[in-house]
Amino acid sequence: MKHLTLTLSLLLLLLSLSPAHADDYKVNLRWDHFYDYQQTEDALRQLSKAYSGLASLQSIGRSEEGRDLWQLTINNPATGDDLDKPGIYVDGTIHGNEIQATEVSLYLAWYLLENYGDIATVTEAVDRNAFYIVPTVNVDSRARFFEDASNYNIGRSARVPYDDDRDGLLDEDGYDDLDGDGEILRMRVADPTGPYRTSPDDPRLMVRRKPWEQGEWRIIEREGIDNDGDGQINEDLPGQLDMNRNYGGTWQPPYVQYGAGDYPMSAKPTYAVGQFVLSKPNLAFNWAFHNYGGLIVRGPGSELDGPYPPSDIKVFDFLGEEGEKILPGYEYIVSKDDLYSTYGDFDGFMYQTFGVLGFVQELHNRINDRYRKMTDDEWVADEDVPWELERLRFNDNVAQGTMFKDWTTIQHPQLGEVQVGGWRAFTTRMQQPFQLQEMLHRNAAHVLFTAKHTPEIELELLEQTDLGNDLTRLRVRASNRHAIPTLTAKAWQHRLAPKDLFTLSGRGLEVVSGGILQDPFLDIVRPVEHQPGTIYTRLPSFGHVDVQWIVQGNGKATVRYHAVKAMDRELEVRF
Amino acid sequence: MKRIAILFLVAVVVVSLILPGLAAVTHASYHPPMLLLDAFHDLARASRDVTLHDLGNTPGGAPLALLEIGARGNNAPGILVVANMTGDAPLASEAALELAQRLTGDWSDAAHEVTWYIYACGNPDGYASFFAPVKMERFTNAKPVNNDADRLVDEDGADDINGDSVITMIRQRHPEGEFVAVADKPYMKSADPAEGQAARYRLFPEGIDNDLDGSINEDQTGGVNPGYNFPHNWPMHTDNAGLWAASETESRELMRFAYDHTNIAMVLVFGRSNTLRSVPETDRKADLLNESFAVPGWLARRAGLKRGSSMKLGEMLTITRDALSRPGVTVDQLLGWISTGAETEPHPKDLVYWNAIASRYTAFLDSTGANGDRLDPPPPVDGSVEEWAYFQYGTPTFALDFWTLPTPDSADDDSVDTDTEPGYADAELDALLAYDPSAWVAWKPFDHATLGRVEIGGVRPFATLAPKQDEVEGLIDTQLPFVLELSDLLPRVSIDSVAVTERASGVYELDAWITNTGFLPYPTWHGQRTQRPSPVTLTLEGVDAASILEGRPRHVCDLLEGNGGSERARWVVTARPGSEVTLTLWSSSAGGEQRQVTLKGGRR
Repeated sequence: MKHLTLTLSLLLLLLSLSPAHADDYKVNLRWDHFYDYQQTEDALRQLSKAYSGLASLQSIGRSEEGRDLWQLTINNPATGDDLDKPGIYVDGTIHGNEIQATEVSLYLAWYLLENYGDIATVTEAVDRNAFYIVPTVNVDSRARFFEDASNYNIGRSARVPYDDDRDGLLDEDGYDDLDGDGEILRMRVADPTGPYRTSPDDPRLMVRRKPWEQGEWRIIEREGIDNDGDGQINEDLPGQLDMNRNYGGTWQPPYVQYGAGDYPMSAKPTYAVGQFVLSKPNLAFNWAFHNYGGLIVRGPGSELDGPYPPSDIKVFDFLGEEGEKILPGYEYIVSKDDLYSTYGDFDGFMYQTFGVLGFVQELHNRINDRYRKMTDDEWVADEDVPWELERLRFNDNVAQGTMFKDWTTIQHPQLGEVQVGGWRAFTTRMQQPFQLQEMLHRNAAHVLFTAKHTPEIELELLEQTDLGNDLTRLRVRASNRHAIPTLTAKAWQHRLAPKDLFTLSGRGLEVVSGGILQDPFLDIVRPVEHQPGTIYTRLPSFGHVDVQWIVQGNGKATVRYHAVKAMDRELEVRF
Repeated sequence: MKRIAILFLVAVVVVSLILPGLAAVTHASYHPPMLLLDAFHDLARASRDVTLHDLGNTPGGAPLALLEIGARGNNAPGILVVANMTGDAPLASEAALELAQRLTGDWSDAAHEVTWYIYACGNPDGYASFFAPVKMERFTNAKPVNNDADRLVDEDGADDINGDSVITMIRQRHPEGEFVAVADKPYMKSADPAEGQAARYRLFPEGIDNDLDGSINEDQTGGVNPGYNFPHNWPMHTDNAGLWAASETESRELMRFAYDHTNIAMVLVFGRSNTLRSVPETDRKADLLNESFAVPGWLARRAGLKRGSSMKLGEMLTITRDALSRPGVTVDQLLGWISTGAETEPHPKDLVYWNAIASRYTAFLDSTGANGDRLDPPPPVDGSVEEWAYFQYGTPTFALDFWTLPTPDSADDDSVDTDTEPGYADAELDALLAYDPSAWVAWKPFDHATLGRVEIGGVRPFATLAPKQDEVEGLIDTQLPFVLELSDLLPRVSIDSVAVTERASGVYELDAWITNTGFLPYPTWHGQRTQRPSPVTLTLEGVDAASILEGRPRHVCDLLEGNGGSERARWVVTARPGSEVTLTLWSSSAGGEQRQVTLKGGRR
């Protein structure tokens, strides 16, 4: 009996030490599932209720169609107010069709809360950082992705009516679910002069015919009719405003930047996010999750951004190159150079307006749908890979046929007999449910890696020398052993955030001289002429700042380093 | 008798309470923002054709009001008048108030065919400095901004240290000084090392170093001038321009109002610039097809071109249409794709109209005697409302200033052609001294808390920005009527003629000519680029789509030149002889009409 009790006790102890199991979670969320608007809201409410000591949920505004923009703050108040800690901002799905970006945000929140106290790095992150999570920015179009007949390329924009075809009418010719299957697929019509013929490799695919070959098909468009009788199908879709071109900074008007909106932050969600980030001066890094390309993207987004300061680029490079290892298959790139010019996007806005660094992460890559024996590099590099064919094999033998809908013949009111079919809504730009969790976890891990590298201040007394005549020379070092500086070079250059304060004070003490110690060996000091007890500075990436003070008097001095984007530190010196 | 007098007085009070709008506003003194608002409230109460729109509040809590005057509301073409957006143009607000008053009185006819939207003061917080007990030229709103990025906000503003109720300048003799006194002039000029000038001065704005950081007045109260906060050429990272374009309620809500009122056909800006006196010049090409541009990388890939190549836009258009298999790609689409950036100069075809209107303006001022010699007004600032209105909102836009300092007779002889006191051009100071010698506050010694012995003096605030009070009525009387001339220039579209021809039995050809009888084109040539306003459409109704053999139900006119610019719409339809169809001409801001047409007629 005694043995049994001991064994049971040991077993219980072992269970309590082992990582949490599903049964142990307070909030059981599935990670092989895409959450619609209501489910996302419910999940956030459950998390904030179950972890009310660490999480708080609020609506930061409403969308054009009246949906709430939910924002979850994760912070341990026992270790300090959120504004006193380096903040990480995370959002997703600013493009409504890029739906799994919401799951990344949701997973990050869930992972932080469920593992707080169990996994040391998570506990440290929640104690040391403040996480501000907006799982979905484009709540309207993402909600409609689930509610309306949809497709992976439908719903990028905000629901702000727009006259795409310049005929004086707004949004009058959108898609139509002709076969009533709840999805908008492709539409083709038999045409012997058409540019396509059936692929010899798979009858579900079409290939471009050679000039001397007989045509077979003409691809008309996605499912739809000519609603306004102008001879075009689906030429004036709902909305047009691209919220990731609607932020401030280098915003340009719609004739320069497609989808820019009438003026910066003219969309309700972008305005709400703008006001929210304005209220968080402690933000040290930001993330915007998108869904196509397998990319870690940094600015500049266009020539209007100008060159980024080299020291800021080094931080980007460190975090981006490490991200390529955390996320195999992802590529770290520069938006302007490796993609195309964009204006008014979120990461550029954050950098130009507040001097805050950030990444745009593109979640899905076509290598996720591969079906052949080849390395990641081969897949990415080889332009000749018949990847549509490979994806079909993946569909057939891995996804069990759930990704592609065979062509079916229907009667079109204007075109007569047409065929409808192709890649289904939850494909092409997104992982299949069984692939989701690893992707979510690795992206959350990249966020945690940057959280780990938000600035942390350390103070060290380098020297305390009695100069006689009641004068003492103090030399103090403030260090930041992390990659992200307390203020970026951009923020410093344009006064985008308050400078750090390095101060010395004490009753009965007078600071008679002070300044930045540029060379301790040659005693070169850059003096501060006014108020030498207060030195304005910043801590660079993996760097330090040394100061020297000459103090008259005796007693206790408090040396304090105060940064808006890091937790303050103090050091007491007696003399 | 006494009783009658009392009754009369009571009656006067009652009538004045019931009909406050009847009391004519005068310009015997400038109206502070709250009195402008009161006057607008009075006008709105006095007429059902007048509506006061609430655009929110400034950071300082001042209401932002926009007055609508017009019998037909959104159904008539609109003119948006924006005054004193930068807060430094008192006469602009007075002119806007006078315009509102006249449109509800003597000029009420002008509000029958046009709806007027008047924003009499776009920057009430900044303009309030004109009426403050201590006067200073600072025109930012009350939004707190940490200009020096320390830990305090708005902690080091100006101080009236000599107690004369005006903030002027401090000069201090100092080895590091950059300015020297000018002989026979009260002002200073930049020191010229070649002249070996010894007596050097440093100049500071009047104030003390409140936060003891070594700088004077470096973090003043408030921080954004809404007049620099519009999104065309917005000066990013510039003091007073805001954190982002449209960050301020004053500018953002005005733009929101403008985009919500698609009937606005013209924008008039009353402020400090005058784009009819100084018409902007342009090097922009009317026809870009023969201009060379770099081929973007993605297009080079798709078209099999060498990366980094360039070619004429016309060739690129052909190649793009072919490479993308999209024959409908337009020049404007392609310009967007190849990132040519925002236009910064007016379209040359718009300037044809602009210059003609400027000539009319000059002739008008000559006729009223208001075209005296005066200093040139400054050009529009970056981020200004007038540049936004033309370059992004896409409407004809004209800025009027009503006043600058008169040019002194001796200006050319005596002015010093080097940099003078910060913020002023030398010619402006000479003109000021000739116009009003009391506008200069003489230098007087003063013991400064941190600088020691200094002198305080300089230009009296607002002296270069506002005319003497007794000139205000005359300046407005002689110039404001040109606004009515401008309102007569709006584009107006109509169906000029309709012809029906029977092509075969029951088959009719319908020809309709759409014309613009107004002076200005619709839209402007630049508006065509910005895709604002919506184009004119002529819609054929009364036949089902299947009966239209040629043409589409909606005919779209991309651009109609002014003064009779025309376009033909043509349909071939099958219909019963004698049946009626309806043609509906629509525009957002240039009128429209409906016409019934009977399908009958002789064969061609």
